[in-house]
Amino acid sequence: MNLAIVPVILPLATGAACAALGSERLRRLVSLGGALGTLGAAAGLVWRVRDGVVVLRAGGWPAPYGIAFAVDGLGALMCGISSYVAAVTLWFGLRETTPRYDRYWHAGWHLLLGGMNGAFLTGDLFNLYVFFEILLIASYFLLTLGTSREQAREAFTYVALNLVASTLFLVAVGLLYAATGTVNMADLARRLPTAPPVLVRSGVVLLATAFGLKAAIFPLYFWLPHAYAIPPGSVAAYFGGMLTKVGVYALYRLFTTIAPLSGPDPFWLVVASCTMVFGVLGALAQEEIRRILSFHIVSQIGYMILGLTLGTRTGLAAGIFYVLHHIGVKTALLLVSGTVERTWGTGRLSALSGIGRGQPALGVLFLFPALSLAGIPPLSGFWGKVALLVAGADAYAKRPDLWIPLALGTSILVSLLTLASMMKIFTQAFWGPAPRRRRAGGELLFPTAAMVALTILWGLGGQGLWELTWSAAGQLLERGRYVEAVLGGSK
Amino acid sequence: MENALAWIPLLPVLGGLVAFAATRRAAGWVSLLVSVSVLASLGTLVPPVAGGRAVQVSLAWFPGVGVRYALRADGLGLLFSLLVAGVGVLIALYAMTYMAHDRRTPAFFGFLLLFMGAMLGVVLADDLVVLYVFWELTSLTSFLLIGFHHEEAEARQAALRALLVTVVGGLGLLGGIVLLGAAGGSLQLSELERHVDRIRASALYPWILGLVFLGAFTKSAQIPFHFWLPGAMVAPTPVSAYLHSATMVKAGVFLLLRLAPLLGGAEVWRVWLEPVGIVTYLFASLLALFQEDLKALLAYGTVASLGLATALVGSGSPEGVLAVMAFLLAHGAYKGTLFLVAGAVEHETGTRRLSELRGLARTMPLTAGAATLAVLSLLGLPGFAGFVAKGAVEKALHGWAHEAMLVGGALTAAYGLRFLGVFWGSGERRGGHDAPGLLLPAAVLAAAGPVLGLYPALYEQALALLHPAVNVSSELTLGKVAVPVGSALLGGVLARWAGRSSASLALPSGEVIFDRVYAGVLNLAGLLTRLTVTGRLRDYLAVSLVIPVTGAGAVILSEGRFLAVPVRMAPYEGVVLLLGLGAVAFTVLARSLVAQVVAVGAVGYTVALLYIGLRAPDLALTQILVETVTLVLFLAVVLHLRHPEEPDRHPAWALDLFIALGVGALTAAFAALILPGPPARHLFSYFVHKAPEAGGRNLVNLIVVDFRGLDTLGEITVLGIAALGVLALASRPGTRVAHHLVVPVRSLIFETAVRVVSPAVAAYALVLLLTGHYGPGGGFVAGLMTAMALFAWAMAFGFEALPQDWLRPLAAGLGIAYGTGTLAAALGRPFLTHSPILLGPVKSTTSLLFDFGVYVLVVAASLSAARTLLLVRPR
Amino acid sequence: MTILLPLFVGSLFGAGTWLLLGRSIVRQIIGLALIGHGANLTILLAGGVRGGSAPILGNPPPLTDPLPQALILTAIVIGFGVVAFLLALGYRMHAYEEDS
Repeated sequence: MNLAIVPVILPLATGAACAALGSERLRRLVSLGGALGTLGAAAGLVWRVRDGVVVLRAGGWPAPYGIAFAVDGLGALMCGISSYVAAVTLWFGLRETTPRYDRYWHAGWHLLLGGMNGAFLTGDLFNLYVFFEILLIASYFLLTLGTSREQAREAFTYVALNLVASTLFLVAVGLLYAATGTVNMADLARRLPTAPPVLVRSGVVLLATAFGLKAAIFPLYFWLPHAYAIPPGSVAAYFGGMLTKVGVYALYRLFTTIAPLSGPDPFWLVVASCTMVFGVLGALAQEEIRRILSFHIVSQIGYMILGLTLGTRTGLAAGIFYVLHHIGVKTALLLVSGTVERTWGTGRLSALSGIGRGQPALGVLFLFPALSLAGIPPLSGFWGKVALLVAGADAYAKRPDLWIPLALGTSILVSLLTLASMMKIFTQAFWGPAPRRRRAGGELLFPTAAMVALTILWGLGGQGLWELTWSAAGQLLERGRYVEAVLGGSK
Repeated sequence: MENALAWIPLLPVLGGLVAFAATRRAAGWVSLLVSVSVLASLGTLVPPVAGGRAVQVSLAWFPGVGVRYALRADGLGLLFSLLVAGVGVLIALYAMTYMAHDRRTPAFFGFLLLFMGAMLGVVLADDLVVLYVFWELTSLTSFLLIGFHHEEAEARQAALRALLVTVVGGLGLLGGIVLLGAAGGSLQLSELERHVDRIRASALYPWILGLVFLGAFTKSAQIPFHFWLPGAMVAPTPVSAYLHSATMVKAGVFLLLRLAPLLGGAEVWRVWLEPVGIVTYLFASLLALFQEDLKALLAYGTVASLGLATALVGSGSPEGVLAVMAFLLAHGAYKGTLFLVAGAVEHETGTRRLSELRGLARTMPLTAGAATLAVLSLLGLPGFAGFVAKGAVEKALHGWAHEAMLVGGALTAAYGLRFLGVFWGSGERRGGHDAPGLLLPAAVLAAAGPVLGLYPALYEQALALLHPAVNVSSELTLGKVAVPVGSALLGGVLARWAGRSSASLALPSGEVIFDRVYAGVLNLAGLLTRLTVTGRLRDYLAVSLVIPVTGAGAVILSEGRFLAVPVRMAPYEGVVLLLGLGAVAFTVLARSLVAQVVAVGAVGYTVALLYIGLRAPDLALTQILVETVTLVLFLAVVLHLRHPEEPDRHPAWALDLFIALGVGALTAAFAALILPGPPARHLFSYFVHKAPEAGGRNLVNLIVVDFRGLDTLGEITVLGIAALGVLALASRPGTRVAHHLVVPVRSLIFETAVRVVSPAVAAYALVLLLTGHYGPGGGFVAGLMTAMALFAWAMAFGFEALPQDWLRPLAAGLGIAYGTGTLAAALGRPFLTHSPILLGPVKSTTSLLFDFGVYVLVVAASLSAARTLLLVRPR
Repeated sequence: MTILLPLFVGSLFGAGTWLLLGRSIVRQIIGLALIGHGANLTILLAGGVRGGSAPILGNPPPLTDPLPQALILTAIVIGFGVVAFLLALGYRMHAYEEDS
């Protein structure tokens, strides 16, 4: 049995089952089982792709006629981390569901995971659209679960914007189909160079806008902080960790496999830099933990785009490393913020004090990912940053474009501001007198610790992850092999 | 021995983790034990290093970016690490008494040990990234220790300032290291030292230099970054003595010494370091003189000493290097003593204010003795380490720097003597006694002054580690006696004056500047964020649409070519298009919501008619059905709205209009551009060829359920989630389920009609389901028709005539579709591969089963959504 | 006639955008529905409008391109689901005055 379908169909089926099951015990059992099974399958897939692209031809029809899953290192790694994040946040969220919404909540969790994994694994542009829609509608669904009127309004903004992005996506599919007569990514990669440039370039612009909106790059990031302020902590962590990264993944796929960028160009370097700067400035202007963290998501996306823009193998590997690191760190931080909100009833800095004094474990669980986010060694964020700097220096040596050092300098400056903003949270909420006796329970701390462990593991033993991202970057650059693996002999 | 080296920085780190978990008493002992064992291990490294052989270890850590866990104990590193570990032992001892009554002693010792490990890592690192890793760890542990008493706002602020300032430098250093790696082709010092010429010739050299200086100046608190160090004095005194005097603040000077072989020597080195160092030296010693707080006085004194050290490194000569080391060793001993003494005084008397502290020699005679020894060494009087150091310093500095040093010497002497006033000045304040636990470490450190002063051979041996080849004693010829004596006398006069005068120096302090910059950044951040993240969908949409319109618009304007494609259409299709345009216009212009909803329905139907014209019967059928259901849902919502009217237009509607026209123009251009269609229909013949294998004639249906069955699987998932979402949105407290629409429809004609038509429609739907592979139809269309039939039934006979729980049918539909796909996978064939089956007389494939899943789901989803939207009301 | 097709597509997008940029939730949903029609038509046109008969084997050749039709079928259903959800959301925002 081809492993590639399991991380998609298993969560979808689990989601459907959770919606139908009336017994809460049974539902939770199925839910956790499904999450672990998906994680296992995803891990197996990561293991499998080291030998090359894994192709699954749905229905047995060869690509480009049928839909093919084409799993390379990038897709498998994304699938792996999303399954991990889903499992951990699910664990955390078991405390947050209410009987009224429990079945919906579990269903939404798995359906979202299935949609994301499908997006990571599919090798077909239109099928990517379909999986995008699954994950989006699942995200609308989770976002609005049990919301108040005002929150529903915020959610509507998120939904409407994403629908516009989806429409752009569809139109782009139309343009590219008119240009090439295909929607298979490998086939597109093969045919685009000789297709009418006006259609191709328009299509790429639309796709970049659509993906960029989902990835929350500058100047399309505005929706994110409001949207992520709506749902309960577990959902915010799930979203904050994974959702924008689907957009980042799509940008990586677009600009490597389908229509590769020709080396670092000023436009994308400026977009990356502005994403970093505007995100971090937004964070500095906030006074609530979750909002601060939400803006940092934006800021960090800039680093990922920087890696993509550099386009070298080191750059891509660093970018992918950064994506994976960031997912772990950001999920962990949002879980901490969820824990704080749940335990102390608010995330406003002015209303919090001395959490670390009262409960040092929670302070530690915040401090590690916070420092990692700012790129402080020896945590994973540091290696991501160093790898990006090294890649940038290499790229500059090859092509002395002044925008490169400017973007790198920005990235360094932004990590300082990131530290300032993280330490603002730490000194205000975690330091100071601890007047209140309340403590967060272990059932919230353990899942958080499982997430924090990633950044420590990937910090001290980052080389292990680097080898995976390095090989993934290699696969992205060897487009011929990808095309060959997917299309085989078909013309 | 190499293994021992590898473990030296890690041992304290591990020890720190143990200390966190230990009891209050045990933590101190752990700390002491670890420091002593580190000192002992360092001792084993002395003989080879003294013999001129650096001990090295290099292990793979992150080879991906060329980083190795590489350490090197050469003379410089070993000397510094001996200082770190040696003072560390004394500090551990001291803190065991000093911190005895703090509830968080384990955390204190934990941080202290972490710091010690980090500091050892800095001075022993051979790999520059490893150096940076430990460097930032020292900043971090310093932050945690400055903020140790974080209940006080002052401690929190000081900690944050110190962290940010040192991290500014740290990040600069990181940049410098990356550039150095790029210029020299390696990150290991031992490797880089072979490519010195390449580095100095590199275009990156000035950048490297500037960034490294930034790192060194911030860490070693040079002007204008000095302010964090006096602020850091809110830390417990053992921390001030250890981190902020004896060790961490010297890391900047160490860095310069470390990189001098690679970067030093050039004129630019001297041009930068000497002025910065000397200015810091003079300025800070002047400030020290006027401090009221015992620790602040010492802190400024430390800043001054670091300035002098920086200037010495700048001189660039080998004598300079020796002088720096000689000076830093002497300084470590006397300044460390003074800090420990200050801590003891505060511990015993409860205050650090100079004006309140006089004549303590009577109650704390031994402490006074230790302080006196230290100050004598600080004065540089003969017989003390300071004398030797001063002599070396004097030899190394030339020109104006030399003159400045004489002035600075007097100021230094002055603040030193002011400090002694605490013990020997005449006054009333009494209290305290010699606390043995606090006295012993201070005494040991104080004794180092006369010991090294009287036996310069020891000094020379220590310094000989630096340059085993050079005869050190010739470099350390004693300086002139007159200089220190003179400056001591002058200092005495100054100290008396400063003590009496109420003059305080009102200079712009770095803290204020730092805080203003920080506040400025925050203001800018707030402004930009308010401008960009407005919270209004309209603004977001405007940006999201302007980008593709301008981006793709530019592409089309620059290279778009429109081909005139003859579109073969029946005339009625032209009419349909005109109708469509009219419906669109009406949708926009209609004033009532209901009218708009009806109009958008009309648009949908014209689109369906257009699909017929474009030879897409499946689409037309689907569109008509979908449009009908959508219209019902729309009307359901519109009729239920309590506040349908709301302010509709943004004042800047002209911009909206502009954007809308732009989007319209762009998409119209797209539509015109793509009319010719793809250059070749690669896929088409395959579909035709394989249709028999897939078991049907309707290519669209074959594609939907078979060739691209995965899309359909996804599509019904979306529909299922949407239905779940509708249910969930309505499932909340304060709702009730009505049994009828607005009023029950009670009409015999309607009921009879429904009784006849509904079953017929449902039956016809089943036919469409079964024959979808051959003509227009399929699961989706069949499902919608069935749903409509059932809906009509419910209208006539009430919704209670239908099942109430739609979740299970929803899940069942999805389950059937997923199961069909997975079945193939379980049988070892690719996912979603359909197999032939016999359905009674009909030969078909499992695709029919798949389509049945679609059918079930669509029925369930449509009915549950309709029921929810129509019948669930607020109570 | 050729000009009418692009014009209709453009008008769907333009009108949809205009409604979206307004403030009324229901009108915004209507706008999204219009844009959805526009996108579907765009894909259909991308297959080429060369005439022919519906893509059912047995019909007189040439047949129209079935793939865009299949893609749109999927897109229609997805759009239907999303609009239904949006309507529920809009309803939710208006119908319930009080939050529990």
